[in-house]
Amino acid sequence: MNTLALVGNPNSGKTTVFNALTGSNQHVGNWPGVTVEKKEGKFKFNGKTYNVVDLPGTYSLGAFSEDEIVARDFILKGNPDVVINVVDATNIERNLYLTTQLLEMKAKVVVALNMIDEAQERNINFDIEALSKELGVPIVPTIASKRKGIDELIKMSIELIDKDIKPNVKISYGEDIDREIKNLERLLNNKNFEYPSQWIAIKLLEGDKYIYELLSNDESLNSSTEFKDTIDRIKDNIDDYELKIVDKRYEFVNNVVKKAVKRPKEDVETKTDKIDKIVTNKWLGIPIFALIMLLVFQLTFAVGEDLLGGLMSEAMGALGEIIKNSLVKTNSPKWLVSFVSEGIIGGVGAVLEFIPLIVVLYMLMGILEDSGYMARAAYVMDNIMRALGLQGKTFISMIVGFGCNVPGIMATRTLDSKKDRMIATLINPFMSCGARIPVYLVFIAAFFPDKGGLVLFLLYFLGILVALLMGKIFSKTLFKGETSYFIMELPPYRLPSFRNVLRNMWDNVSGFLKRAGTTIFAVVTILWILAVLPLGVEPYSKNSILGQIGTFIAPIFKPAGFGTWQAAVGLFAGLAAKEAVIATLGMVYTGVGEGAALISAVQNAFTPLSAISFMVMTLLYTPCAATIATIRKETNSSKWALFAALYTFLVGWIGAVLVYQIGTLLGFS
Amino acid sequence: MLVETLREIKRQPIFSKKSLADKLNVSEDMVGNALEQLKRMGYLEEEKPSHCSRNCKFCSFNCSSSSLNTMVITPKGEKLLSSN
Repeated sequence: MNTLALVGNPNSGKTTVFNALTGSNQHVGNWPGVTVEKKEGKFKFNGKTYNVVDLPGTYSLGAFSEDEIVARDFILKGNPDVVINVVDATNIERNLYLTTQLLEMKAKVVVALNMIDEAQERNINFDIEALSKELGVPIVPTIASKRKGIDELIKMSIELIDKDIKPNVKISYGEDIDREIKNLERLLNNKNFEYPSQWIAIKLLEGDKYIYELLSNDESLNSSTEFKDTIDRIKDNIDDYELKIVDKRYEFVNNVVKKAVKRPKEDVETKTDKIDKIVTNKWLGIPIFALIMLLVFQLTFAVGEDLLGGLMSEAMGALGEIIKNSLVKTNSPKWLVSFVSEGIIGGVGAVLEFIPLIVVLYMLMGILEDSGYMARAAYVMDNIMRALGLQGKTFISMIVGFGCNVPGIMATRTLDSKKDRMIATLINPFMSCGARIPVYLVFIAAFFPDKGGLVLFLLYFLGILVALLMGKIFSKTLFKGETSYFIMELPPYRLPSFRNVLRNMWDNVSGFLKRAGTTIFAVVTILWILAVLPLGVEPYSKNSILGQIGTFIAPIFKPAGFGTWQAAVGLFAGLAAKEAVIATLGMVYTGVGEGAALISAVQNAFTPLSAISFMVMTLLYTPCAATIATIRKETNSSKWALFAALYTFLVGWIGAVLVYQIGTLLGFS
Repeated sequence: MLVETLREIKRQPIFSKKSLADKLNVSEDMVGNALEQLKRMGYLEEEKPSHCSRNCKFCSFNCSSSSLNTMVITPKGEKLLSSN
């Protein structure tokens, strides 16, 4: 029985062709010795039955995977009568690379130019005759999903079985390689390998380990000094040879496509080009980036706070009331009622009620990233980064840091030089992570409810500015040296995928929820214990352990305008996790808890100026414990971790003091 | 074509497939193939930032890798460029 083998790239429609050829007459097994699926089927034509073998989908016929080895072994050792190469007409260059390798094997090939309808829809037109001439094989246009061209494909394949013709197209790999192939062919010609000598020669020059192993078992070859010398010479130049062979295959494909494929003339200037001309403009790029970010924050407030903000707050309030009433009704101990209503609801609830805002912010950030704009932002920032002696890739780790400083610092691993990596690591904590958002939101709601977007934008902007400034200082002092460049592909703009945007948002929000129920819960529990002890003192008062800690630290913050023990203890708790700042304030401000009561308490304890000063401190001061631990791990040095903790505190304190003192001098309160 | 693509990337480190295709006078698909081959052959390496570590269990925010597709020319790639 004659056998036809089907070979093609994944997603070229090969299985559809197989189904169209064999119908339901097929069975599935495994290739011997490997876990690759083997599909075989039969069809009848003019009363004769033919066997069809569907080979695994591959992009090339090297030895990089089991699929590739199975496919090439069957073509070369399984002796199929004809190889049907299914080619996706919409992605011709990539598919023809495999075709060139079939031609090298001297297999009897028929090309099924599949999905021709989709290619025509995209105005990709083929000169079938020219394509057939250039490749030296018959071409049959097919639409396998509609069974169009399948009868013609069968007819052409069967006609070829009895013809003694093989591909006559020869790919030249350049003078030196062609000479080496001929030389190897001569040495291999009298050996009884299952593969053609010329193909073995090409594979040796490509460094195919499988073939090297095969030949190492041949004693007569290995005893030949000439062969050994040839192999040694090849091995010395193996990278060069492999590159040239692949290059020549592409050159061949490129020439074939130029002669036989007509594409619609691509717009010299695509939409992406037109947009890029504006958003990556030397002068407009940065202002546009700033404007886009401002818009993101304005929208975050408009939707997340004005539209949805009340929902979560009301829900948390109602939940708190229900739980408190239930505890009171069931005669629960007083301490438990206090712990749950003031500790848990007041602390964790104060964090949770900002979820709508965080959802909206990360959805908008996801849209920017998935649309391709963030890559342009990195491109635009690259120029500034370079001017400051920083590596452009640093900005990518800074963008990641907007989510959380831990992955932001991990992202600095991609920086090549130690100098660039150290700078990027040390400035990443200034990127305002999501955990700091609840702090800003309480203070914005208390003092700047109509300018929320602008205030949030300015805080993020200040974070970037301070990071760049510190980066410049570090590059001029602690870490001098050349700045390396980075390579990045700018993707074309596209409509953001709803799924990707949702996933990006969920990554952030789910983590936020998880942490509220674990770390924040633990921190709040510890703080609550400290706030009600020692027994006998008024809970949440200055005389509690927490109050005493706060009173001890508070004087440091007096020049910044918030020298109260509550503010001090809030910042102290923020060293464990930044959300704990607001959770602590929610608990210590008269134990009132979250929502409007907390905002009102903050209004009484701060002034607009000290509120700004406090937000600046929260933005810039010592990052959370997880970030410090990551810095220690990434720098492999406790000294650098301590340095990061101390210098960021100093920068935060100086920033807050400057804001408050200058503001006071200017007459603000 | 592969060497030219690599050289062009070195010259224009922030690129789009279209800008490379225009420069090299080939189709964008061809540039895509060349990039894949250069990566497969170890001349170019795609950077997949490993953002996550055990520290992430203390951290609430996203660990998914950024969509910003950065690469690096490997020492093998640099050697190729200097010899061509």
